[in-house]
Amino acid sequence: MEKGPDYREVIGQEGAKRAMVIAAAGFHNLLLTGVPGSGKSLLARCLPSILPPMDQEEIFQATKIHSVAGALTREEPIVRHRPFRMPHHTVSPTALTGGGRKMKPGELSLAHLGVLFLDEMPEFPREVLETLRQPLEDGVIRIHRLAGSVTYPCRFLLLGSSNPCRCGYHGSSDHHCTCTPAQIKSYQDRISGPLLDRMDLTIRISAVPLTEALGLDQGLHQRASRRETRMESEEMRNLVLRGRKKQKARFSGAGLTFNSQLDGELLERFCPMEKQARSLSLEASEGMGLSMRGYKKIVRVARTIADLEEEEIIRVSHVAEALQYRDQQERTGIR
Amino acid sequence: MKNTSFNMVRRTETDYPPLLRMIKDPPETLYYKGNLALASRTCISVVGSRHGTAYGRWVARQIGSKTARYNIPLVSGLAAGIDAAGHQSALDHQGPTIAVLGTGIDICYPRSNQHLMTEIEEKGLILTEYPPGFRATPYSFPARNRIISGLSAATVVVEAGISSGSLITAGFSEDQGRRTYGVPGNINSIFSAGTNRLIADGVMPFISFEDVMDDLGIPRIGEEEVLKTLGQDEIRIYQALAEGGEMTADELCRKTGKPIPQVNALVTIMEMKGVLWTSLGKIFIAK
Repeated sequence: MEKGPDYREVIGQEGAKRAMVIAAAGFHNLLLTGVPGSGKSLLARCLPSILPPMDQEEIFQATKIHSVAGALTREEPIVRHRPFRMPHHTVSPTALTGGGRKMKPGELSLAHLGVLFLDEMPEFPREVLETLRQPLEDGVIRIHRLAGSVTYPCRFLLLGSSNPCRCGYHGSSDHHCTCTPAQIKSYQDRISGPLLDRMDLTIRISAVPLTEALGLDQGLHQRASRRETRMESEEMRNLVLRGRKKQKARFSGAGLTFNSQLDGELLERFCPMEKQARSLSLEASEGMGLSMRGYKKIVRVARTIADLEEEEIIRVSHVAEALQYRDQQERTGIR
Repeated sequence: MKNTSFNMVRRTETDYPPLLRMIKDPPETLYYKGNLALASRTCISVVGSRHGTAYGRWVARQIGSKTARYNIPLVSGLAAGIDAAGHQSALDHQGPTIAVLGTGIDICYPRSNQHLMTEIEEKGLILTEYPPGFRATPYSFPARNRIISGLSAATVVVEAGISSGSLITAGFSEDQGRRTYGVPGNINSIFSAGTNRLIADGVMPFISFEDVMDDLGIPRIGEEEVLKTLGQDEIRIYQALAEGGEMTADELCRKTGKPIPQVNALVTIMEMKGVLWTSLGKIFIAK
C-alpha cells in the first residue's frame, strides 16, 4: 500500500521524522521550516508512506468527492489511499476552495481525510492562505453562489513547508543570510498569526552536513549501528497505527476521530494528566509566553505522544516533548 | 513619545559618572532617564553588529545573564541585534543595564526597540549627550560609542564585520585605557572578521566571562551549582553541549545515543530550569 518514497531515504532528520509520526497519528497540522536543501520536501513526500489505511466509510467518502470533482481515473476508480494533494503556489482561490461556474470541490476537499501539502507556504498569496482558516476550523467548506450553496467536507492534515527567510539562509551556520531584519520579519509574517495558531506542530530543521549524511566522519562499525537507529517508514507506520487505535477506542461515540479535533470541554475530558505534567504545562505557558491557543496545542500534541506509548494518562515526559514542537519565536535579536 | 520627563547631569556635578569624567572628551551634559547611580558602578559594555548570527546573540545573552548574576550593569547602544540581545538578557535575568543613545532622549532608534527602551527606563538607565529632539546623524552613533566604552571598565565586542561601528567602540576603549575583548568566531564568518582581526591586533580574546572577572579583580561566583540542579540524563545533555557548542536535537541524539523523544523532553525540562535555550532549531547552554 506504500505510496511515494520511504523514510529510510531521509538521513539524519530523526527529529523531523518523529514530528511526522506525531502529525500522522493525531492528524495534527505541521509546519516545517528549514534552509534550502535540508530535505523539507522529501520529508513531506514520504508522509503518505506512514499514513494508516482508510476504512470502508472513508474510502466511500473520499471516492464520492473525487467523483463529483471528476478526479477519478481509469487506473484508480476508487480512492483507496489517503489523498496527498500538493497544489502549486500559483493555485487560484477557487481551485483551492472549490466552486466555480460548475460548482466543483477544490483542492481542500480533494485532500479530505488525507494531506494537503503546501510547499513553500509563504509563496502562496495571502488571500489564498486566508481561505484556509475557516475550513481548518470546521472541517467543511461552504460555498455560496447564485446557483445555490453547497457544503463540501474537507478534514485534512495541513502540512506546510517554509524557508526561514526570503534568501533562505537565516539561522544557517554555514551560509550568510542576505536579508535585513525587516525582510525576515515580513517573510515570516506571510503566514499569519491565526493560521500559525492552527499548526499544532512547528519544527525547525537544519541541513545535514554531507560528511555526516554519508557517515564519512565515522568508522564502519558506527556507520552500521547508525543505520539501525535510522527510522524507516514501516516502523513509523506501526507507531502511527498504535496511536490511531488508541484514539479510535477513546473517541467511539464521542463524534471525534483525531486528537487534533480536541478543544474546549472535550480537551479537558480526554486529556487527563498526572500532577507534574499539569504543572509543567502551566509553568511552561507562563515561562515561554504561550497563549491559550498555544497551551491547547501542547495538550493535544502531548495526548498524541501519550497514545503512541499507549498511555491513558499524559505524563510529564509527554508534555516536555510536546513543548519542543511549539512555535519557537526567535527570542533575541530582531525586535 | 508620551513620557517626556527626563533629568540632566553636568560634568561638574558629583553624581556625574566618574569613569566617564576621566576620558579625553567627556560630554558636558548628560540627559538621562532612570537610575543614574548605575553609571557610577563598575560596568561592562557589550557591543556588536546589528545583524549578527545566532551565535553572536547567544554570546550577548550569555554575557547578559552573567552580568545580571554579578549585579554588574551591562552597557550597550540599544541597536538591533547584539545590543538588543545583551540588554534584553540582562533584564530577563533581573540585572541592571544601561543604554547609551545616539539620539535625543525622547527618540527611539530603531523604533522596533521601543518596548525595550521603555523597560530599560523603568529598570535601568538610558542616557545620551544629545538634547531632546536630536535626530541621529552619521556622526552621532560613532561619537556615542566613546560614552559606551567610557562608562565601562571593560568592553566586549561580540560580533563585528570588517567595517563595523563596534570596532570604533573597541578603539575608544583601548584609547581610554580600558580592558577590551573580542569574541573569537569562525574565520569564514563575515560577522567575525572584525573581531578576529581585533584579536590578531592584540585585543584579548573573550573566552569566558569569568576571565573578565579575574582581570577586573572581581571574585568569581561558583559555576558548579548549575550542575547540581540537574539529573543524570540532563548532565549528559549539558556536557554534550558544553563540548560541542550549539547543536540541533538530532545532533544531540547522535552525541548522547538517546532517542529523539527523550532528548526533546530533556531539553524542555532544562529550558524550564533556565539551563538551556533554543533558537532557530538550535540548542544552546544558557548560563
